Amino acid sequence: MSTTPPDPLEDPGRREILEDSEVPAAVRVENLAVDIPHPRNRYRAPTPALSDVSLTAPQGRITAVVGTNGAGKSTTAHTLTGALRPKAGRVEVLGVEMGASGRPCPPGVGLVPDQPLLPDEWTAQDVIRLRARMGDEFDADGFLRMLRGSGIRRRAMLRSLSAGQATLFSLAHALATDPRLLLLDEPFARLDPLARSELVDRFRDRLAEDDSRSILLMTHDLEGMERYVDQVAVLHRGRTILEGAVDALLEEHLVAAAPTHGTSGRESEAGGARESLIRAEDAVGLAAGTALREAGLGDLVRLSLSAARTEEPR
Amino acid sequence: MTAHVESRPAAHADTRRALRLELTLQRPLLWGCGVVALVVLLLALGQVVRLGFLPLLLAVMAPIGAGPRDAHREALLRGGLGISRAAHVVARTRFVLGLQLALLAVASLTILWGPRTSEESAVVGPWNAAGATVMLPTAGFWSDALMFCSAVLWSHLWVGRDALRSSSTLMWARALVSFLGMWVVTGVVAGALTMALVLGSQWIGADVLFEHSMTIGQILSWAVMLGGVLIALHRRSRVWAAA
Repeated sequence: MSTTPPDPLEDPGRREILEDSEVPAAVRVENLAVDIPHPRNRYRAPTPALSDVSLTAPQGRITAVVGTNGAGKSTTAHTLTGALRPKAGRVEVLGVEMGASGRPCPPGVGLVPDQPLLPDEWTAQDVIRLRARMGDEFDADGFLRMLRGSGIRRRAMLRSLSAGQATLFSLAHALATDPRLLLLDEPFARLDPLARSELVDRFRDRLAEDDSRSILLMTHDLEGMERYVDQVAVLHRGRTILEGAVDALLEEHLVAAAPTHGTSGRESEAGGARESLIRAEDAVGLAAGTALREAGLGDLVRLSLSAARTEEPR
Repeated sequence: MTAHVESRPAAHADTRRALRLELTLQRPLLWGCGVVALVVLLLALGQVVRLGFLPLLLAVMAPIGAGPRDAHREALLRGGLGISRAAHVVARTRFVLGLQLALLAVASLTILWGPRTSEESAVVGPWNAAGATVMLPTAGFWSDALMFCSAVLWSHLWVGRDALRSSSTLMWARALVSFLGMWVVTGVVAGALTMALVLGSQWIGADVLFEHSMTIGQILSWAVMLGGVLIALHRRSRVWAAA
């Protein structure tokens, strides 16, 4: 009896995975290592921040880089903007190799930093003036409209804004340049739940409008992440411990961890990552194959981080 | 992957954008220096008091005053706006140089226009040119003015690189010490050059040259000092950008 190999495209989940591999990358980072120089003294030894970070942010998708405090999320974001230079590895943003030459990020990248970068006494008017002086394409009307929508007056100084409003100000500033890649560093950290939800909707709308746009966000907020994130990279102490398309990761690590006929799930075939997950699962006291069956991306990230911690030498 | 080759016009455009950003972000420094310069000039013109040392000190401190309060935040802003570190360093050096030259011009004008005591030597004197006598700044004035200009710009060279990443109190002190040190060094070098010219003209027996050797020597030393520091600053700014 001849058996026809199953068409992978018949399976919707599988189709998603195949499509992902064909999508061009907005950001590609390979084996990145970064040392942070001493802020004032050039003779002092730099501090190692990243040792081995690899991630891909496919075009037209939302990619999240997650990790605990000090994992290297912000350092990764800062390297993508050219503010920090790679010590080793490869960084490519919108097809431009960043290299070690201190090149800035190419046009088309909108940065929303975790803290305002512009002078505290600046207003929206100053931002518009700066962009005009620099000859940048900048949608001043759209910028002011977004600020109005967030309840920020055009003459309000940055120092007078709340932390959440400052984030929305930076977001409006970045979006007014109509970026092909929106790079956000901890955008949810200072936002209330309503603003957070609106921001996620805005991300989705943005990608629905034009699938050549991409979003890369650094966050430690795992709540409801699978609702909007397509791709994830988990960082721990300056290295990537888990990376891939969300659907593929959930399928590989969580569904595979469910019990099968006569076996306990722990005995079924699994790679090193799953073994780590199971060890972590024990460490956090979850029953195998039960809680995980219904678990989401947040649980997977938490488990990967727990696994990474348990594997660390004490 | 697309190879990114930065062409010369692209690099110039990048530097122009960096310079515009610099001019916008340094507005408070420009306003501060502008107000001080205006007051000093008005006081000199009104023959009230001669405060030429104020713009001179501001010129010495300009590299530190333009320095970042938070270098990493500044780098992130520049990166986010798509400005390379090289363009930023070149723009910052040019901005500081321009500000220093403007402040030094104010200091020189203050000396020229300000009130003088009877014991001080005159800064304006009669010069004969083509049979006509005109009142112009004396060689002594030019010597002093160009000497402190050289010292200020050489001190910029000493502190410029570190001032790109810090504006700490230590850096302010370093700038002042560098200026005083360079004042002595430029004075010694200029004196040695002048002496060499005087002795050289004596040795070759050129009487006409000997008559003017002091003035020629001074002019040559100024040219060497100022030209040297401008070339050095131009070159060092490229090294700082690559560092």
